[in-house]
This record gives sequence, C-alpha cells and structure tokens, in this order.
Amino acid sequence: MRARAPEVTRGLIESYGKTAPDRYFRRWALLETLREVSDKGALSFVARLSSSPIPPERIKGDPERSSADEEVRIRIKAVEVLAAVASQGVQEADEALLRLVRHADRGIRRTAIRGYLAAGRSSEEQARRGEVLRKRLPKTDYGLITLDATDVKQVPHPAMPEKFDIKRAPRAKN
Amino acid sequence: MKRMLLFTMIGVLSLGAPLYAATCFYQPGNNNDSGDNFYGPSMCNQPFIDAVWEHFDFDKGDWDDGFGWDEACNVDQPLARTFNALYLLAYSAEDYATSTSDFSGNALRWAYPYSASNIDELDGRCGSGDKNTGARATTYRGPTVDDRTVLKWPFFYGEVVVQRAGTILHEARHAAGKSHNGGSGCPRGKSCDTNWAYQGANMYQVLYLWWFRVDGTRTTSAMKNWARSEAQNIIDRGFNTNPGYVIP
Repeated sequence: MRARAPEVTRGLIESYGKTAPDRYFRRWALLETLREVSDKGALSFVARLSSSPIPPERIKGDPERSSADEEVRIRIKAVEVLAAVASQGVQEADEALLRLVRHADRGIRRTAIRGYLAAGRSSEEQARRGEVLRKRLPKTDYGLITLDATDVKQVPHPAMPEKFDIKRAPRAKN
Repeated sequence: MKRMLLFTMIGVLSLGAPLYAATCFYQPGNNNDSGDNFYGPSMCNQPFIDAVWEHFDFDKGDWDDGFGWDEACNVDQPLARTFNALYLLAYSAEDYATSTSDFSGNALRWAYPYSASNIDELDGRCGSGDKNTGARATTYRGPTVDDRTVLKWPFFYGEVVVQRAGTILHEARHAAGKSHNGGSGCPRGKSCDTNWAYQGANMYQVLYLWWFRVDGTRTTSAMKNWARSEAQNIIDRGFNTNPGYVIP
C-alpha cells in the first residue's frame, strides 16, 4: 500500500468525502488508514478537518450519547494523521500541530502536543520541542508536555468479590 | 438495504381503538464496519444463545415480531446484534470466565458476569426507531417498577459491537444502583460522573474498553483501536474532574 501511497491517499480522502456524516466508525477507520499510510498528500485535508468546528448535535434526546463525542474522536484521529506525517520530518505537519496545541478540546490539544513532541527524532530534539511548547502553552497545560502513558494495571479498579452467588428475587414472567 | 420491520406497537383504549402504532425499520448499514459480520458466525450457536438467554432473562415477548426471536443469527436484526455484543463481552478474555459467579481477574474477564448478575432482564424496543434519535438504552430499577434494561434503535444500529458491549456493562452499573452524579459538569455536558473514585458507570465502561484494547482476543485490530478511542473519549469528556489517564 505504501508503494502507492499518494494514489491510496487520494482514494481515501475521496471516500471520506462521500461518507455520510453519521457513519462515525467508517469515517474514523478511513482516517486510521490514512494514518497508517502517512502520506504527505493527506496534510491539508487532515489539517483542515482537525481544526474544523464541531457540527450541531445530531443525536437528539439521548442522555448518554452525543455526536459531539464522535466528532471529537474523528478530529483526534485526524491529528494522529498529522503526527504520523510529522514523524517523517515534514515541517508543514509540525506547523499544523502547533496550531492545534491550544485547541479548546483537551483531547485534541493533548494529541497535537504529543504528536509534535514525538516528531523529535532524538532526546535533544524532543527537549527543544518541549521548550517550544512551553512558550506557547499556559502553565496549566504543562502537564500535557510528555510522551508518558498510563498503564491500566496502575489505575484504581473496583473491588470485586472473587466469587459470589447470584441471588435474584422471583419475578413474574411475561 | 432498508427493510420493513414487522414490529408494530399497538395500544388499545377501553373503547377498542388503537392508542398508538409505530413501525420501525432495520438500519444495519455496513455490517462489516460494525463488526457484526465478524462476530455473527461465532455467536450463532445454540449453546451460547441458550446461555445468554438465561443469564440475561430474555423473554420471547420482548424480542419477537421482527426483533429476531425467530431469526437469532440474522445480524440485520436487533436480537442478533445484541447477541454479538454479549459474545464479545463474554469471550474477549483469553481465559474468559466460565461461570457468572466468577469475578476474578480484570474487567475483560468480570464484565460479563457482572452484567449478567446486575441486569435483571434485557428487552428490545424501537425507541425512536431512528439510530440517531433518543436513548440507546434505559435501565429501570426500583421497588415500584419492573427492573429491566431496555435496548433501543441507537444501541442496535448506532453503535459498533464493542461499543454495544461497553454500553451493556455501563447499564449494568446503573442496574446495580449507581447513577451518574456529575450533572452536566463534564466536557460533554451529560451523563457525567464527578470523578474516577466515584466508581460509576463511566469508570466501568472505560476499564472494560481499556482492557479490551490491551488484552482483547477473538477480535480485530480495528475493534481494539476503536475501543481505545472510545475509552479515551470518556476519560476526557465524561468526568467532572479529569482523571488524567492517557491510554497508549
């Protein structure tokens, strides 16, 4: 696929444009494939998508689910494409990431910050990039300037009984 | 292809006239995207169906008339799509729990026993009849109501299989008596939990999806990546105080 990266990238972008807005998984999957291809030709498309406004809520009347959540996830995936292109030393991708490091959504700005940082190919370069980020970010976001991730084993879990018997009250059947 | 669902809800007034009638239509979309075609062949076996039928107290009257009772392996229909989610919930750990009273191990392992133990029964309904409208699921619980979790169109057709599995565990936490306590104080502005320590439905859902990402088996890389994205989104947008976790 990589050998035909520009052509594949164009095809993926075209497919994305034809995909209905409420097909969130398909849109996300197309972007994931763009990330895997990591072709420079995707740059302007994903830069535009990642900074585009969240559309008005599409999921009406669900107290638990929101199209805004889905749209944020899609934009985060677009930022991951930017980061993948930046990791190949493409300066325009670096610049696009820096434009997103103060985005209102925490997930989008964290992904942009990490992508920019990770594109440094040596520890010295990463340290320099950390300084660039510190100059641009408010102190409250300094904690986001890291490539550390969380190990699920270190996260507090609820206590479960090792074994317990299910006891249900008798209930009338339909 | 959109097909007409035969299910028709008809209430009858004392005079015998219809109170209301509603018809809903299947909205399966692309069953490869949703993962239903991947899980369908594994799910479609009688011993598994018999087991979940008992564990979640399914009733024919809640799943017939077009919901799939007579076509339990047809992944265009609500029942099979629910079975797919339960299959993923049950068998995604390499050493999956073989008893609903076994809560050992991580969330990937105890999610199914926990859900089976706390959800009194699973019912299928049209709801709005549109995958983008209305609640995906509602859990009823209390001394004066029939305890149950009702799954609706946005659950069947608006979520991929791993999302549905997470939703079932989320609802199981509600069925256990834990409501959301954060009002609209989180970034997404609804179904907020105050923090991780509250141990609410959002925490349970995140833990399941996170472990699925880390250790999930009998699945696809797309499902695992999507689970990561879903879990991170809840971490970032579903808590009034962000727990600060970053899923690798």
